[in-house]
Amino acid sequence: MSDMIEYTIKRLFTGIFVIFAVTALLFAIMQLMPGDAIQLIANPRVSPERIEELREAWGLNKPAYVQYFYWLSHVLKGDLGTSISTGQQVSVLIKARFPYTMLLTGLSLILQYIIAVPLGLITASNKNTRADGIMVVLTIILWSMPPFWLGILLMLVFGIWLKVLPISGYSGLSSLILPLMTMTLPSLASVFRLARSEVLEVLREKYVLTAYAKGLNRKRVLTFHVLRNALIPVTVMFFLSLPWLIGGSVIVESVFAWPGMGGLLWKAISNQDYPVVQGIIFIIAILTVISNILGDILSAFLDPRIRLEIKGDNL
Amino acid sequence: MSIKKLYKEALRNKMFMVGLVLFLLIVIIAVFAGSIAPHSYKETDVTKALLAPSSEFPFGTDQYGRCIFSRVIFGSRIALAVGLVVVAVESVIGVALGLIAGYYGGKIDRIILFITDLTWAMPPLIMALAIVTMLGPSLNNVVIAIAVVSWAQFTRIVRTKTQAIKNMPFIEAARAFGESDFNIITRYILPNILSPIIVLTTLALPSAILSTTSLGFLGLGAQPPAPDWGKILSEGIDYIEIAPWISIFPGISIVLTVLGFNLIGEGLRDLLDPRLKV
Repeated sequence: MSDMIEYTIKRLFTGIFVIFAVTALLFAIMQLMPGDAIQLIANPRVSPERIEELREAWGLNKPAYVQYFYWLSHVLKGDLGTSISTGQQVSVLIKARFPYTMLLTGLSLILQYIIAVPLGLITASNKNTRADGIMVVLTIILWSMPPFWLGILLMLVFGIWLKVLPISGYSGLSSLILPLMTMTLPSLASVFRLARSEVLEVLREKYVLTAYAKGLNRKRVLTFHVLRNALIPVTVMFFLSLPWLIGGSVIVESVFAWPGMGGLLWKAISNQDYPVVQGIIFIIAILTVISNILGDILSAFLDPRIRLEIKGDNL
Repeated sequence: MSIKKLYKEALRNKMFMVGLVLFLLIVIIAVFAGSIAPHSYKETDVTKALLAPSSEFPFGTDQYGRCIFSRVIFGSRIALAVGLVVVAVESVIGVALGLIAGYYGGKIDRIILFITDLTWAMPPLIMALAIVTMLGPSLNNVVIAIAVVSWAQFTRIVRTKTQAIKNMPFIEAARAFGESDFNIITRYILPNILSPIIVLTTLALPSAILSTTSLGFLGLGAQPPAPDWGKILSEGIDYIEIAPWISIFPGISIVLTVLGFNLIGEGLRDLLDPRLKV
């Protein structure tokens, strides 16, 4: 157990380091950008002297690393800066949007696993039947669908032709259905494929043969021996896929005008509203690192083989 | 497996064959776009705006009266070209780093491993989005952004495969004969890990095309009037109620193209390296 605690602490430290490395990297890239926010929002008639003053006020005339440490010291105090285009506090903007994104991605994640894991187990234990073949082809088709197009199709069918669901914005729970479907279907296909291939892998293991040889019935072997082992990578994936879903939310939210963080990021990017972009990316980096750490710790906790590897690890 | 046997099995693999047919179709369309498309992809004619599909305009027209069919046909060039260049760049970088990390181990390995971890510290789409925004929207920058966020998958797998064979007797023998590290890596290791690299490359292509169209959809790809599939589709959203064909047809072409490559990739994996996890 003490190994686990040590490992957790190590992972936490590398995690914090990674968050800063990523934000610094993005800060560096931002500086490469032609022009800056002032030029973008200022009226062309504004005198160069005034622009210089504004630049001074925003701290945009300082060297990049000074700006970064300035930003960092404020972030540590919980201040993510002010939006250039609206003048609002970035933290306030994000706080208002964050719950919507988490609602969408969280529900989507739960739905994916509730549906995909049992399906994976069932199809894998009936490998090479017609149903299994159909499922495999169906998942490849879902994978090949750009999420924005899937969203538009769902919008057309349910919102415009059948007129049963609202197609954009947020007006109660019925608005949730289409974005949720758009976000869930492609990832559901991935979870299904992972669950299926893990079950297939475990079915080849010798201990499954042993279990059958002991005279256990099929149901018992499948639930106690196969599912338990196959679930380890699947559970770990649960945490690792959260950041991917948040990434995808940019697209889904912009298709459906969903009032979440992804939509906000997209708007901020088109307005070149650096503080907002930086704030959201910072939040996403934290979420990603946390879910990666949770995934790693969980897999070490569930799988004794990984625990043994960690002992020799000197990261 | 001998080439002949591989060829026979490939013919029997349905997924692979369907993928191959789709692939050939899309290549033919891209190459002969000029003779297939009935109209120009950029010529506007407002008197013919938002027309429904007809014999003159098989996929209808957009708000400027441009022929969607012709735009989709020419768009295949953008999708294919960007996809191929991205995959070429990311696979060369990824494989080279993977070979170096796996072969030398030690400090070099740890540094490369840390960089790959870093690229995974952000959702790829967000990272690509940030990079293209910073560099400015253009096809070149899309290529850079997608390559930057996706080379690491090659490194990860090539590194493990290299580690697995670098201490095998035939490598030891080569070393004993005084072969240089470069020769050992390129002539002894690389040919032996070629099948996972081929599978990875074919599977990286569809995801590169999907990312390209996603960035195009967000307006960061090829700039108007270039017929970027993602861009055509997103412009159609405003007219979705009166002219759904603007968004439907480019979507179908994306699905068929990506599906073709996915099927080829899946088929190749079954043929070459069934246990490879991507």
